[in-house]
Amino acid sequence: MASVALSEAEKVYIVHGVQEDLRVDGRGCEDYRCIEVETDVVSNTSGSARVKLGHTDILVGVKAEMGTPKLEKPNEGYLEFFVDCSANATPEFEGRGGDDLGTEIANTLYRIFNNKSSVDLKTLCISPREHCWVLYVDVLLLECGGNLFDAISIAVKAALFNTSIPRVRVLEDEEGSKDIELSDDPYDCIRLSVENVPCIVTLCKIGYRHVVDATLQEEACSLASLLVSVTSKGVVTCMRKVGKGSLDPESIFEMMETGKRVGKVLHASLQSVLHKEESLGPKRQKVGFLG
Amino acid sequence: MPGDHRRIRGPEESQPPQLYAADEEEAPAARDPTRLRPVYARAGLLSQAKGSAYLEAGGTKVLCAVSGPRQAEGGERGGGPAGSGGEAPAALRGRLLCDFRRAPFAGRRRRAPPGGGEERELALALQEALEPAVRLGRYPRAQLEVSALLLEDGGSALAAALTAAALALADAGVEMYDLVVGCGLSLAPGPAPTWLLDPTRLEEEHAAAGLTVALMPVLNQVAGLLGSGEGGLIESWAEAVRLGLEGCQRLYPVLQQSLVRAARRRGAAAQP
Repeated sequence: MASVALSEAEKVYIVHGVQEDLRVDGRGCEDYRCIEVETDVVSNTSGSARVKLGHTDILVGVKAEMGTPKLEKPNEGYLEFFVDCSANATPEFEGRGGDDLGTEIANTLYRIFNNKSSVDLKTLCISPREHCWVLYVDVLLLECGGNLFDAISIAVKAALFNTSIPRVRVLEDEEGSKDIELSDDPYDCIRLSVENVPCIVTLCKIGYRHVVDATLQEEACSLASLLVSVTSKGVVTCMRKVGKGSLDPESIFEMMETGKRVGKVLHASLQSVLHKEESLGPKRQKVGFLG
Repeated sequence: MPGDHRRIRGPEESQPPQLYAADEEEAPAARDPTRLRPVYARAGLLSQAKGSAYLEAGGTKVLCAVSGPRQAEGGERGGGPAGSGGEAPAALRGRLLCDFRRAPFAGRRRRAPPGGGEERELALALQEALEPAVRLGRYPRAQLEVSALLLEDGGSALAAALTAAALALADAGVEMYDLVVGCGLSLAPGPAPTWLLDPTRLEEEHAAAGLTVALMPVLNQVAGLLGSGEGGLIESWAEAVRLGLEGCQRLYPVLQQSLVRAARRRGAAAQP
């Protein structure tokens, strides 16, 4: 992650503030920064979303392509994640520098989606054993301002909500040769249900308390964090300890409870924003990259 | 006589025949959810490594070797404030490089050595779990290399690798705050999902969720945690973590004994 140089006095200031439930920018320990979500920002994709969380800026594009199903799961499509840490985010990501972080984030995304209920993969099947939809989810890190995992998971959920996959039919000839027919109507498409798509909540341990949505400075003061991936119903799909410190078992249980609470609120507000944006229809004003 | 590989081409990809076998799924047998498989641990067996350990638990066999400390490669890092207790400043702390490898014959399907994402993820999990235990501040500008090789995967492979790596570090004489003990768990699906401690490979394949916990037993600090799947609500995961921590505590005396035996062996070998 991007590093920031902090003096001892600044670290002590942050730690003491967190003990009193008061962070440097005035938030409480369980408050998120202001999140801006916008979908359908890139026209060449099946779905896209851009999320700005404080100084963290993420752009996700989803492209649906036809492929062959995996051998173990012939009736399902699948998702492929790729995370690119752009050199604009921080100078450390120049060249191959961002690859390690990119693979770590991609592996975490694979892990959180690695269960039957997150995305209904059976809707992505076109004909068993032969054709299925593969959703290539590409995440681009434009600016790094702390709390990458949360922002990326919010962006992925928004992009999957926005994804529209064209309806395709497989026609069989008399000779048995198969032909693929794309529907003529460009608006005739399958939308994915993102009811059970999880969002990641990262809880950083600072001193004796933990904070949600840490900035870069707060991340520099924390030795260990717990990453919990939670759905809107409170079901946890992934848990991971990040960082080079250790955690007390009691604080892990507290952090898990906080993660569930904060996750539910996050999901509720994200759903309402996405539905509101969709209801504005094609007439809504797109802010894009200029606002 | 070597075959003619240019004119007689084999298939590009090959699959094991089990994929096409008729579905006779053997369900894993019911058992006490808190049973730990008997563990065989031996430290100090490789002659070329500074420290090494071999761990066998049920069908899982892991071999781990530690080398170093040697001079760290990599460019300069910016200066930082000094830590407490006479340790090196933050920028001069040592590094721990972990590598996790699966032998191609370790699982049911053959996996060629550059295993890709999964091995990198497990290597990162190893590093994150071992770093709290090692006093890296005492090895300024040095790096320690830990490489774990999974010879056979019989369930809870990451947990076994963690334990073997900690044993190998202790055998190498690296300064540590405490040993790290790993324990695997899996959630058996069904009408009443229960968490099973130390699952076998069959139980892991049929599981709805899996979790690996790493604990430093004496300090009672959780050094590592990695879990995924449909584990259900938070309360279920919390119960799993508690079960895992208890399993780690039960495993600790075995590891202590193996280190004592290794030290005695080394002492006996030193006296001609």
